[in-house]
Amino acid sequence: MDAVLTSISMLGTTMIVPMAILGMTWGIFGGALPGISPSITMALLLPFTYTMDPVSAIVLLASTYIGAEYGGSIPAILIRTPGTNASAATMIDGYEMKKQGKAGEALGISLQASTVGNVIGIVCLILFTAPLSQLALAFKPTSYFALGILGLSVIVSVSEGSLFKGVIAALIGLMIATIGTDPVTGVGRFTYGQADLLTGVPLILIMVGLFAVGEVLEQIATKDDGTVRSDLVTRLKWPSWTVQKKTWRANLIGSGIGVFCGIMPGAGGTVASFMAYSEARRFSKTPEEFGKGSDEGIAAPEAANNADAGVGLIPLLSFGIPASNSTAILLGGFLIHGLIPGPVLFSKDPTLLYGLFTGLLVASAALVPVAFLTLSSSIWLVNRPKPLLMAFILALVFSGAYSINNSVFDLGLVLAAGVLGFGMRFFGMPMLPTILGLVLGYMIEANYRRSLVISGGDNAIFLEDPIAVGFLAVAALFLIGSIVREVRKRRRIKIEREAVI
Amino acid sequence: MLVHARSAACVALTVAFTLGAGSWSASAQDKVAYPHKAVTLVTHSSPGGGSDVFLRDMTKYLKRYIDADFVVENVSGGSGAKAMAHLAKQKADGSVFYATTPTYIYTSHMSALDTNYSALEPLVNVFYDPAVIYTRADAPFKTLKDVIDKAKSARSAWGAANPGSLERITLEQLKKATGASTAAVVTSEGGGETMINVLNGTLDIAVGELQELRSQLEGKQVRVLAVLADERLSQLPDVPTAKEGGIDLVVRKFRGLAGPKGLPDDVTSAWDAAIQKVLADPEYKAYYEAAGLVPAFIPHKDYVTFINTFAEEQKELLSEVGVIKK
Amino acid sequence: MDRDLACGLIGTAIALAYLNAAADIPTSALGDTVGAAGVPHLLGYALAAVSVAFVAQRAIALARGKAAEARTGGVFDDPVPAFASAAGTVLICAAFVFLLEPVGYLPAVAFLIFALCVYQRVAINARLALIATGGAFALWLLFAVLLSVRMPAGIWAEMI
Repeated sequence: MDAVLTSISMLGTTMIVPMAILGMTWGIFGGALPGISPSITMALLLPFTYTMDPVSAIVLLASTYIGAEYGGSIPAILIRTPGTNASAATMIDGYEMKKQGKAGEALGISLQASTVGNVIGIVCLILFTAPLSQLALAFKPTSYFALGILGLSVIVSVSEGSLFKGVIAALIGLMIATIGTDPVTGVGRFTYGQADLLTGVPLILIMVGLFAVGEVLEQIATKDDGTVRSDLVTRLKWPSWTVQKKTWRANLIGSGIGVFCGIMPGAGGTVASFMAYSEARRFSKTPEEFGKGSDEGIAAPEAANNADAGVGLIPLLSFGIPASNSTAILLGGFLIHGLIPGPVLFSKDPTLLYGLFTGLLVASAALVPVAFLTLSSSIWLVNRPKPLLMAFILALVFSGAYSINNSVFDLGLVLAAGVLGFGMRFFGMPMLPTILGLVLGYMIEANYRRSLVISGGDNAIFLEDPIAVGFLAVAALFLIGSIVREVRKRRRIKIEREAVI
Repeated sequence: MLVHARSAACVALTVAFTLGAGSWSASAQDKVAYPHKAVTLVTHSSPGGGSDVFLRDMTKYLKRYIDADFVVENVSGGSGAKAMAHLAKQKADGSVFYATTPTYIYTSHMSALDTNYSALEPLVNVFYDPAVIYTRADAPFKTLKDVIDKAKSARSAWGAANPGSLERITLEQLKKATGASTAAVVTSEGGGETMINVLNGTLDIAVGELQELRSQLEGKQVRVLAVLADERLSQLPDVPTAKEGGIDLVVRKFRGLAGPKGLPDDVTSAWDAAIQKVLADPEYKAYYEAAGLVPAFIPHKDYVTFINTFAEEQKELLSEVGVIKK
Repeated sequence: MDRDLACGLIGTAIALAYLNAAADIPTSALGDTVGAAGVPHLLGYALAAVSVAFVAQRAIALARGKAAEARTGGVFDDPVPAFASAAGTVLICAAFVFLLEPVGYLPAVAFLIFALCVYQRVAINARLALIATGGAFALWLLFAVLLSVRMPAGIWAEMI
């Protein structure tokens, strides 16, 4: 009770409220720019926090963090350009809805899902830090490997049309993930002495290339008279009750997976949002709508990456371990003030913790009004004439890509990924398997090999870890189930066709 | 998190640090004269990373002793490869330096780069980051020898933060020195995952820097078994060195500066003087000791030899364990 | 040529090129049982196998004469102009990438916007020139000033 009273009194006596709103606004802005990752958005504020009091500084940085996780979805829906890695999952159905002229609805669903995810994530952070931190310790390299396999097991069900094409697409993604320094021996693979490739191909470059550049190439090639635009965006539409009845389940699935991935330092928001997308599809009443503008397909990943953001603070607060680049910057924010986050700090000075929690709640409450304001200008921008919009999307994408490493080489990679994306569309290949391969490939390989290093090459080590066994069993069930479904569907089509003849 | 860890962030922050400057003012003659008004210090870490924090903290105090302003610039990517290439292109007039750590030597050895460590001139060393071997607080091991004994008879996994790093080679050396050849050396990306795996018992021990362990030591979640330095650390007076336990293993994880080749004498002598002064600053001393750093001033004339010897030694070790070919 | 057949053949070609490149991965004595090249080899062979199987399945279906070509619809139903148009866009972007460091951020971005608009048949006039330079300036303000990204100064460096 004391904690609640202290927190409420802090609202009036400290700078928490303005800092939370400021951080939220800045975060949405940074997150919405492709290439400007949540961690860079936070890092840009770091120098200004030197002179602030610790509570204001931490609240500012943490609000920026959750704001940026939301911001990525805006360009994802409007211009098929993921602003952050995690928002690429939101993009799949979000952009489809935009093409159908329902961008306002899509933005509303993502805003609501983000708020749900934020609140669930922050409540878990406030109430369950201790038990969840114990759960975080239960995950070993074997569990991460199995989690990755579980994520890949949806490939069969997301490869509409041709299973062959789906698997080829997934393998290409996995291959791109092998570029860079080998996770076990440290030798360079496919790097050819290129400094830019030593740390691997940044995921965001490939996603922006495959989706945004690929889309622009296709749009420019499409001849139209430019007078009729079916995809004009009018304004943000908060989801109606009918929509909410459809998305509540996806919101909860997404938040649950976000919480789950948030406590695992090796998983993170991108894995969370893609897992949420697949699982929401698996448990949806209308899985066939996924990829064609499904409300649930927007809600689930968006709820997941925001829930992940809140819960992602648990490893930092309970062990002092930053689970991601963003939380590493937050750790920097603590260290600047001579504070070492961990159990000791917060038992010594709980007001800091109460301040942080209050600030995060204020920031999530501020999300909706701030987003309404930001979105009106974004909507104006995407309603410019098509040739201008296409030119500016490419200019924005290249500026963002350059700012990651100040490297022209990266721009070449984006362009190459764009050509790949264009080619994949030509052949009717699904993109989702490629992205899943990219997101999960490194995690699967690194943890598989680490596990074998620990066991001295004995695969039985995976059976010693109950979490891994569980994940692998579920993955096998899903895989068999989807193959059986696929075969039945083919047979039915064949029978129907023969009946017609 | 794999995505974040692999995509290096790069931002230039150009902020003059004013914190603390008000409370202490040096008279002009205390300051070492310097030929440049503004000095850029480049690091390969992203903002908030190890070398970034080192530079930003040091420049706060350095301004009291060198008559110039300091700007920290992050040139990340390629584990230092990009920063080295960037530095080699700059004028050797003392206006730009690079924060050295063993990483830049390792990156040079592990990858065939056009520009490697030999293109830079070491300026001066400032600190050692003492490496320690730690285990979880409730682990059955009381000394390093307990772990070695276990590794000889059963499965034992040891952790190092990165695959091609000084820490990794340190553990390989430990295996060799003690005959625990069956111990598995497990690497991850960054210290966070390694720490989780020590805490949950997947790894018996790991090697890390004292700096990274402050939170866990304070929370009594981990225990340090041995210090890989010549002498015991003032921060951990009860923990023996590996040498005391009969294992001759000393790790010199240095933190210093280097510049483009051909630094003028007035610049190098200015830094020699200023680094000694800054290390003696009582406020800074309190700060860096709490942070777990050991002052290790090495003047310019010796630092060049130090770096070259270090690089040769590591090359030898890397080819001995077969990571690179001679 | 049948589109799916081409897809399978390209997949096979990628697999072979990848396997060829994977052969150069250095081995390390610190290696584990899988090795640095282990997973790349596995992926390469898997892609080769799947692609060859795809080609075979397609070829059999075509031979039996009951395979309808997969249509992706939209612009791709007429591939030649689609590819020609995309190649033009890619060329403009490539020119931008080459120009960026020598001429600097502002002129390069202005060029990119201007060229892409002209390529999409926007009339060349003062308004377009204004939009291109104004747009480049706005992006420069956003990235270089507000977000302090070190954008290449190029020819501006000497002028300042």
